[in-house]
Amino acid sequence: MKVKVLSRNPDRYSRETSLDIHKLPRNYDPALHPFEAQREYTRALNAVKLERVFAKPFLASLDGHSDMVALLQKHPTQLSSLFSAAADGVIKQWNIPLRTCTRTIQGHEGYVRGMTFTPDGETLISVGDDKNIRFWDVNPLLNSPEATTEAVVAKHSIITKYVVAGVSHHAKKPLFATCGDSCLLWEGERNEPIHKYDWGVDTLSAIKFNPTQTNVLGACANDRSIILYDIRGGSPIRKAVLGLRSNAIAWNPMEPFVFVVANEDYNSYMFDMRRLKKPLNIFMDHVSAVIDVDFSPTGKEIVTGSYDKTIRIFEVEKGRSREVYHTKRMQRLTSVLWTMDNKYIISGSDEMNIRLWKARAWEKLGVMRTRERDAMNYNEALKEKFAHFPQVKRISRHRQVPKHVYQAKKELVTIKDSKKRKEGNRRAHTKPGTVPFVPERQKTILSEQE
Amino acid sequence: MSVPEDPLVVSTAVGKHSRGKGLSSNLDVKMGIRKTKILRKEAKIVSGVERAARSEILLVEDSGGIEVDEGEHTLQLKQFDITKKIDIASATKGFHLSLDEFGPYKLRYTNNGRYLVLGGRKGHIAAFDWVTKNLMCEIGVRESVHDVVWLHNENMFAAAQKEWTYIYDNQGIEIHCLKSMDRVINLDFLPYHFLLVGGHQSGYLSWVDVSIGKIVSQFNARSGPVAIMTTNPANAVVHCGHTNGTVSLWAPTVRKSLASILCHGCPLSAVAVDNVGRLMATSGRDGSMRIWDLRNSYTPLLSVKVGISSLLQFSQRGLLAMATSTDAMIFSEVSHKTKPYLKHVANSQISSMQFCPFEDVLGVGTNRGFDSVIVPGAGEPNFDALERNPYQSKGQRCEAEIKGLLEKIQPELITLDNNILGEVDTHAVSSSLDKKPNYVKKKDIQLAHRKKRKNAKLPKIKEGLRTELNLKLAKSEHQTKKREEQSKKTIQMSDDDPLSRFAKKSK
Repeated sequence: MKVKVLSRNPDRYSRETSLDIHKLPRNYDPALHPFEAQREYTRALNAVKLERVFAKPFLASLDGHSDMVALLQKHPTQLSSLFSAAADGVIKQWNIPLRTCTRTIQGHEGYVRGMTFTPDGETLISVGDDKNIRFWDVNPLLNSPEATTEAVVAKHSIITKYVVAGVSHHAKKPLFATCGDSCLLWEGERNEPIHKYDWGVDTLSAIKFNPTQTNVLGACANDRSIILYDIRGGSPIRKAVLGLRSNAIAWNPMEPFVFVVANEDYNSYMFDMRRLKKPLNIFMDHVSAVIDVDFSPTGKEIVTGSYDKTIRIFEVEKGRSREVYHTKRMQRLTSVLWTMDNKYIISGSDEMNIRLWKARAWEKLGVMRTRERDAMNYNEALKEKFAHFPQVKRISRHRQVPKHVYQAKKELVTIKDSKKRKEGNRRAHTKPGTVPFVPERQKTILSEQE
Repeated sequence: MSVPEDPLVVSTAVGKHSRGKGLSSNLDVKMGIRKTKILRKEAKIVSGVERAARSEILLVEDSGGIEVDEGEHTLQLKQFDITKKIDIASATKGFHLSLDEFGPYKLRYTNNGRYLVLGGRKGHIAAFDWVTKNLMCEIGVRESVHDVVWLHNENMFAAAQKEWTYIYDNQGIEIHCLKSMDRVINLDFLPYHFLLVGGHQSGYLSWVDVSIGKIVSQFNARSGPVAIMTTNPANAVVHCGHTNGTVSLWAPTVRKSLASILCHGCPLSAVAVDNVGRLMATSGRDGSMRIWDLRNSYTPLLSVKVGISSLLQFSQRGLLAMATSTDAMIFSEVSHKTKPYLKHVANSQISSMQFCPFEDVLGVGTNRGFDSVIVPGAGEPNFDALERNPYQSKGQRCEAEIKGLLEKIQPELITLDNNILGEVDTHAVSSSLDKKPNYVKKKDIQLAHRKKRKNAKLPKIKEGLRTELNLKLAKSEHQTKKREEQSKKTIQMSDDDPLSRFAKKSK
């Protein structure tokens, strides 16, 4: 007869000196881990609460402009560099990590309408209300040692006869397009445009080259339409007329066919450029006109800045925003950017300030230790897993918004409800089929032309 | 679950770690990104299960047990024989404390099995590290003690005394008096919920959250004094045994019993639930003991006559201890055979019993002291240090306490079915759909599972069979007609033709 009894050697389970780490034998037998689901749910609740506790998105404010910030432009190759232009014609270069202004130029007389970079990132092209197109050296200190930070002279300047309301550079070739009375295509530093595209009589307010499908151009016209051009052809290719005017356009950097426009009707619309009949998605939540829009470099999210003094972040698959940023002092937004490292959002607004925000409000910045990062990743996974539980959803969705936004939202809901009710009543009291159900995505596009 | 290709993974281990079949076997989603996402997630889960199974090769300890030669039986073994055959360190785990004056004794081990608290009915409470035999505290409370229980760690324990329930720290200093828990006769503690459960003399049940010091729930179970009470360690439901032969199941948020199971035709004497919430053992005053399957059917698996037992206890590895007056009988293979395994005779009436977690030890409290009985194969050999660690340091204990408090499960989540969090709340969905006004177009959501056809070609096959059958029928009809005609012909021939007698005779 043999008898065996559990006898553990304590030395095997305890550390030798206090400098060692504790020994942690694991056993993943489910019998030793009761209440798996309940505990995981509790952890998810804690994770989502902590997310809200740590949600401090505002990082810095860059002040220095003496008029409203008209537009912002990120450098194509340098993460730390940012250019801003004001309504008084001043262009400033900023160092983001140091949060200082490194260079100030009197770029134009009057409003600066557009800025863009050449693909090598060496030259900045700016256009303004003074009908000038100016070329600036981005790094004058690097390129010529005798230059000072106060380098105020443009490398080159083109005085045009056209109104120029925006500019965008081709991603590869030395071509750039301007908008205004019509879409003009310019090459290098030549004084005259190489091509002119016209469709109708109205003016264009925004223009953007597609970064991946490089020969395609998108523009927003003042006659409420979006126009697409292909510079290989002689005329515009496609046009969609929306209910109200679009203010800005942004191309998805990962999916070459997809672009988003910021519209006056408080919504942003995502389109597939091959089918403009119906938007891919509508991003609703703003309570006033959307002024600017930018894609995240991953192409999964967009940021919008609105006339209602808030910035919102949308996931491209969802129709409602996941985040809203506002401060007491921030006025109407004029420009928003998503930085190329997918971590920050930069906004320019009416009251002369440029603001730096975190793209994920709860994210910890800086270097994290492995265990800390693991814990963060685990929390993220839990939040995703339990996202649809009512408690978790409620906590993660809740945002404090300014009173005027709250009231406006309420009003909009009332208006929408009443419209729906009226339509429902008409449907109920007419012959079946006379008042059809029209999907929201089909209502917005008035016509598509080719 | 498919058999893994990894040679280091034992397929039985995979079964142990598996959390069910998963969705992919019966997926309603036809195609597209959703299906891809679901399948990808499932693949992750499967690989997780395999890795958990693979990690079993890292477990260092083997469980205890007894190997008998032919013609011998484990029942013949006495404690004396066992201690002779094992090493000295293990042999010290079997001992006897002679406490003649204040018995009968109630006992309780901490969750990690390291500390023991004894409560003598006549007012003697002692807490100590039973392995090293270091006394933490010993107090006389000068009133009757009905039950004792450790709270979440060895720093605090609760004692149900004559009038009220008190909480003491490990120095024996009274740190709290729970006047709301009056005349409690049975105590239990739910470590993951931080709930102290009390069964009152008056028939009340009470749940007190010890982390915030508030009563979560207190109500009358309406069936007399709660003399037999135990908690299901897998779902935290309280099982109460009654004199009418039923076991009722209670959760703090529901004032009616969740279930009532008629177990015996006579008053119950003891109830126990095993470690994973699969089996329940009940014994009646008629001397029978029954084992029940708790998971889905509440059906009796087994009924044996063993004598009137006053106490039942399951060990971590599924042994069942039963006390009848001075004898403690231990059974193995409970769910199918209930084989007698070991027997221990105490020197007086047994008043309480508990298997020590992570040790091969059964603690027995009697009228005249305490016996620590060695039961080979009772305890789980490999503990998880992040869950319950017998060797934890002070710092680890503090950390575990904080983690435990952060992960405290809310009492609303105590339900009979542990999987309720993993299911779709179709009721909520349908009620939210109903709430929407008439003018909103109703979403067409299928709340019930669509029954999937096992064979997509089934209708075609069926139709094919049908046509085949029709063809056959038609053919046979045609043939019978033909035959009839022929027979008619032959008959005619026989009537008319004179040469017909040379014709071949049809069979």
